[in-house]
Amino acid sequence: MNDQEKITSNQLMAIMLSTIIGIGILTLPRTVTEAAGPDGWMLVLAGGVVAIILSVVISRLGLMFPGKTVVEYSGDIITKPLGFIFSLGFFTYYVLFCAFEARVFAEVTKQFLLDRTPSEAIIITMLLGAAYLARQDIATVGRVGEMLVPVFILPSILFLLPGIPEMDLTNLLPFMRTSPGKLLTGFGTIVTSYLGFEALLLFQPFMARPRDAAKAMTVALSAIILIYVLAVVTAVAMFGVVEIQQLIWPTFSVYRVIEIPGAFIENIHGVVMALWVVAVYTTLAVFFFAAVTILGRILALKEYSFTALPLALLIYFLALVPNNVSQVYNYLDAFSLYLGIPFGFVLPAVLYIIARVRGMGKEGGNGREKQAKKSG
Amino acid sequence: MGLLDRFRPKKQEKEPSKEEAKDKASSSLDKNLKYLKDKLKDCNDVVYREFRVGNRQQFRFALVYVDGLVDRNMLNEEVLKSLMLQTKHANLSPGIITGDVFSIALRSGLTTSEVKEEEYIDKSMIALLSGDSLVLVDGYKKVLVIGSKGWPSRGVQEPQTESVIRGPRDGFTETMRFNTALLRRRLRDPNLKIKQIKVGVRSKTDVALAYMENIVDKNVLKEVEKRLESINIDGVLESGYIESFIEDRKYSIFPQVQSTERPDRVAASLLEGRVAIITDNTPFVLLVPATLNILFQSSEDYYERWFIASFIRILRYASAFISLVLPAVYIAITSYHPGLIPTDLALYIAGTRTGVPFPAFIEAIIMELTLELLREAGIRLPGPIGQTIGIVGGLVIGQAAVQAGLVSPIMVIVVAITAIASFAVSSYSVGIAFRILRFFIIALSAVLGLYGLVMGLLLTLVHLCSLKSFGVPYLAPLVGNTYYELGDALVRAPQTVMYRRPKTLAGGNMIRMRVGGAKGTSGGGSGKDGDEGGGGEAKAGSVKAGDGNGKGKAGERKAGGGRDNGQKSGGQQEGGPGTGE
Amino acid sequence: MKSKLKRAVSLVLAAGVMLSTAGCWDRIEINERIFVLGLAIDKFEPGKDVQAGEDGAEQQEEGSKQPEESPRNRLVVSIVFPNVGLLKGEGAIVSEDAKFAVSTVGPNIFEAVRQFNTRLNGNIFFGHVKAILLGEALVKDEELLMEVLDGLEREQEISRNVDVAVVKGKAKDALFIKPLVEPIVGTYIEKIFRQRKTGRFYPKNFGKVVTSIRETGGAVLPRLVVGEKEYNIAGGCLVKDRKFRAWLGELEVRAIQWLENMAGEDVISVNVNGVSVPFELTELKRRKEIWRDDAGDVNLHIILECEGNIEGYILAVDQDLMNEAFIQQVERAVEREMVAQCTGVMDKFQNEFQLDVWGIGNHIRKFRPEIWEDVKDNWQEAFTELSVDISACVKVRRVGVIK
Repeated sequence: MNDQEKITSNQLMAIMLSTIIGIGILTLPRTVTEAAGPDGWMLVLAGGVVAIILSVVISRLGLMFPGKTVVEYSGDIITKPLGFIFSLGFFTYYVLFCAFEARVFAEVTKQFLLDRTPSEAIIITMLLGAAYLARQDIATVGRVGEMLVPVFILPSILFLLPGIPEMDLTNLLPFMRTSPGKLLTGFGTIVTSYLGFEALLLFQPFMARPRDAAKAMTVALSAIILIYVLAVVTAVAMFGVVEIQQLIWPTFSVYRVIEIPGAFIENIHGVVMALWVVAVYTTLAVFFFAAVTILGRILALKEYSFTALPLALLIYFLALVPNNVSQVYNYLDAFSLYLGIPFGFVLPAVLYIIARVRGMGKEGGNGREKQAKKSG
Repeated sequence: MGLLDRFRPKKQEKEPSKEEAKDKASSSLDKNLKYLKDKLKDCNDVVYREFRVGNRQQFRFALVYVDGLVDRNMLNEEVLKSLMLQTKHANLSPGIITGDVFSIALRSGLTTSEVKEEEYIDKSMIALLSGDSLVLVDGYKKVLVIGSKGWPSRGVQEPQTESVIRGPRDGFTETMRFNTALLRRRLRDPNLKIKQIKVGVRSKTDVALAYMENIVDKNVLKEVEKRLESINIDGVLESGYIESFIEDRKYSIFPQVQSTERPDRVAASLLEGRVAIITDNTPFVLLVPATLNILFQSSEDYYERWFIASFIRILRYASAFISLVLPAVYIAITSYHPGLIPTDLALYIAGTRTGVPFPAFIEAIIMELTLELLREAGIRLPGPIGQTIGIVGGLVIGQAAVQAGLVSPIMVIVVAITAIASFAVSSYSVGIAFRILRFFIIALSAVLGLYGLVMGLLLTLVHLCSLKSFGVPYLAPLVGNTYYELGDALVRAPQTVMYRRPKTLAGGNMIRMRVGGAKGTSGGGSGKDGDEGGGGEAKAGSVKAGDGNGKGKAGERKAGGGRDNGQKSGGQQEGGPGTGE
Repeated sequence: MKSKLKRAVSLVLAAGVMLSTAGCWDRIEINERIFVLGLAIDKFEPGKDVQAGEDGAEQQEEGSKQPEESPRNRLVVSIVFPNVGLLKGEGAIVSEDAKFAVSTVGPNIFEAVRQFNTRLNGNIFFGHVKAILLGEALVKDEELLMEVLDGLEREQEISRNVDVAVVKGKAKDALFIKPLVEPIVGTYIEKIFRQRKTGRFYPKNFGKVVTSIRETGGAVLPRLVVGEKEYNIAGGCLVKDRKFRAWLGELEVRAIQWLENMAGEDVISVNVNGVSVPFELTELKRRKEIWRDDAGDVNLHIILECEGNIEGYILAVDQDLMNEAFIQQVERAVEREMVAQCTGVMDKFQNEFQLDVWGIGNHIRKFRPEIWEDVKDNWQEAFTELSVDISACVKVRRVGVIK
């Protein structure tokens, strides 16, 4: 894998932006408002800061073991069998994440775009499309991210402009009146909307300059914080804290209210829906890619793109498990709590601490630093 | 590669050409002639002219040429006349002359400019067949090959496929030598190298590689040479044959090699560090590496003022996008999501479609196929008739179809806009790729509406991202760390802004102009240059160091050398400035 | 390397199979759709529902001539859709009517729509609904009203921006008349709503109505009265506690809008020197001040800052409207008029309806959270006890082209 083309730090940023923004952003304004009322955006901010800290930790961890992904170095840190279990868990986490992503996507698409097309058809086309990207190399993933990020972020923000007259920013008041206890309980659910950054555990060794990972992650996550805060603020400004809690996907509802009179496309929510398809596609494809990569590395395969199609089948069946939309979200909450938080936040930190305590990777990390200094 | 890889080793085992190339010329003229006549049996276009030279007619000569491929006047004047007439009066008795008659003929007998000695008779035969003439001398084991190529050829004309409003009117022709001359006329630089090889076991087509030695990316050059050498085919009749062997991904719909008829375009590309592959017998020159962005450019972009050029470029990209998606968007909206468009428009479209018997998808396919048919019919027919076909097809059939109620007028408009948009794409092969992809996207959006449309575009994009042409990402400079090149992508920045060569293509000598110097002779010039290039990378630094010494050429050379150790990897680039300064 | 050709072929095959066997679940050609432009919902009242519908559109369910009273028949749903064939200009096979209106009964909107599907040849599409009309009887039925509103909000095809009005009498009647100007009823109503040249009705779109009901417990909807060949949208219908509460007059509705910081360009006529002077309101800004006085009572001060023009006076030789004193006179008069109207409305809402339709509670929650802490548990009561002071500050900017 060493002769593989590397990704630049801009491409890592693009991958992260397109990965983290996915299904979560649709429900985010509702969940934060349920948790913290008008102060929800601060929760989003705080969650983002935690994600940034964790991603810096992960990048440190990656620097300790240059050229290795978490699949390899977790074995070094916590012995082979435990590392194997960790990698397997990590793999399961990504597979399930893909399944949820695909299922929520199908639910929303059926609701807003294709109400009679069977979920199966929507999920399978999405998964096949994602499998196509998952079969490519990381540089392709990076380039796709780079191309798509501006494509789906900029128009989504621009389309908010005609809605400004409808918005009432005073809906965000009063400021800081939510009780700290309530904020704290809400915090746990909000951080999970940043899940996806932990893919750095896998991608860092593929970077041309892994040392830039922390910086790139900080920039990318800051941008995501901005976008999330924007989503929350616009939704709350548009609907108020009462109405927003009734809307399952408030971020979409914002665009359903905005009209561009006189334009060729009057109701932009269809266009935004299409842009969101892009966002989900990138998320799903990157998670898919991560799952394929972990599997290939666990099994120590040389060429592992062929695992993509069987995996797609597995994800397909997993995605069809929940019975209805409410169950989907219940399962998703459980998933975020019991797999998302451990794999995104707790375990990387634990790995880092153990590695530090055991004094591992020091030589490697320092050697690399020296190397970098020499060449620089 | 895939399938073809499997066959290649077998072919190489045969290696017919190299086995044969071992027949040495004999010292007997008769034997040589017999050899040629045997080999070229039933080749009635080969002319054998035996004659004697010397005041006593003591030396037997033979001239062999292929009728039609040679300049017969020149042979008469410079070969036959000079050998036969002028030597008649000279006293060529064995006592007087020193050395052999062969070398005398070579040195002073023949007044042609291009003469070669050839030891192997079968090699000389290939020269014969490519238009050279052979002079055989009895008693000598070598053959004189006279460069006498001269066949009726098309003159330099305006290229048909890439006409411009402003810009040179000359285009390449079928004769490679003219083509290299057109290039050399534009780039009078010793660094312009034209390396010639023969490709094709039977056709033995001349193929030339042209590149700027100190600008080209050596890795790309090596790769091109490697791929060219690995071609094993009986005949190369057009550069398309070569293209299909050297492109990176054979099963991609997108062209990964650029072909052009315009010498100015090739010259500009060479200055960007690309490699041109000039094939004999075709006016189409291949340029590698090719990116989508390059394929969207026209040479005129650089001749017009940059506002105009930028506007036209944006228009071109937009039209490519329109030609790709417009029918699919129409289908997705009318058949799936009529809620997206304004009510009045929706009602109007619904009104125009009442009574149309087909779904929009079928309607679109019928219209698109008809259009493709018309286009194909128009190309094959001579000019005026082709135009008639267009008018008849476009106006009459369209009008009749609408009146008959078979298609809705809006669909006619959509298809017409799509067609016009697809003509605006500057590269024919890219245009075709988009036209074919259009059907794919139409099909997807006919099944899944807007979602299908988006998925189709996404898959296309993923494919584009996965493509590389000779190591250069196909979507460069839109992707990768090459943001300063964006000045020559969707827009065309003023020349002074594009003072660097594209990093994705060029291998060295990165500064193409001295911005400060161009502004005047004032001292501030060089300072400004330093400012603008200051953020640049290793190569820029070293070049400037060279230029600073005031020796233009020396500086360039130095830069070219420095480039070799500063190859494209990021890490080494970091190290660059140290060595450069 | 595996054969990419094989892969490409299999992909193409898969796509082909998808296309030919399964595909196109959602495909409905645009001309096969019925674009509902107006939707009217009434409560089913047995016996009263005789409608000699146009185009043979009597409500029929399973053969019965008159819908009978049955637990299944709860709502009368009527839709209006345009004759798109006519737009083409050469619709030989279609009749000359520009629009069709049909009506049916059913237990809820959705079943009623399915009922239409058994009668109409197209696929009913609500994506372009321009107006939703609610019948008087429906609004007076608390169970049905909330049911209907929820169903409409839940349906994704129906935009949140649709205009809603309560029809005095039967909503259905509104769809069956032929308006003078524009034959297509839905867009006609929408255009009335969108012109914003009057403050005499409260143009609240569907999303805002629902939000208002959720946040304040009630909403003011515009009232629509059906005429012979036209409509009159004026005044309002107050919905409170999940059902109809009262009709509101045009001026009351206008005052409500002033207090909500919304001003249609409207004309206020005041009496100055015995002449009725029309004052055109062009701009209005409302400020709210809330404080607690020494006694602990919550005070609300509403200030209306208005701008406008004098539209007319009386033709005379010595008239001079370009006169500071006169202008001030008009300004004071308008101020008095506005304050009077607003105070009247405020009183009515505080004492009679006991409904904070302006979201004053919200305002307190946002800007004075410490006061809100005390009153939020019994806000309805606190609202009635709120001491409200309304004042206006009117500026005349222009007087027209003569002095």
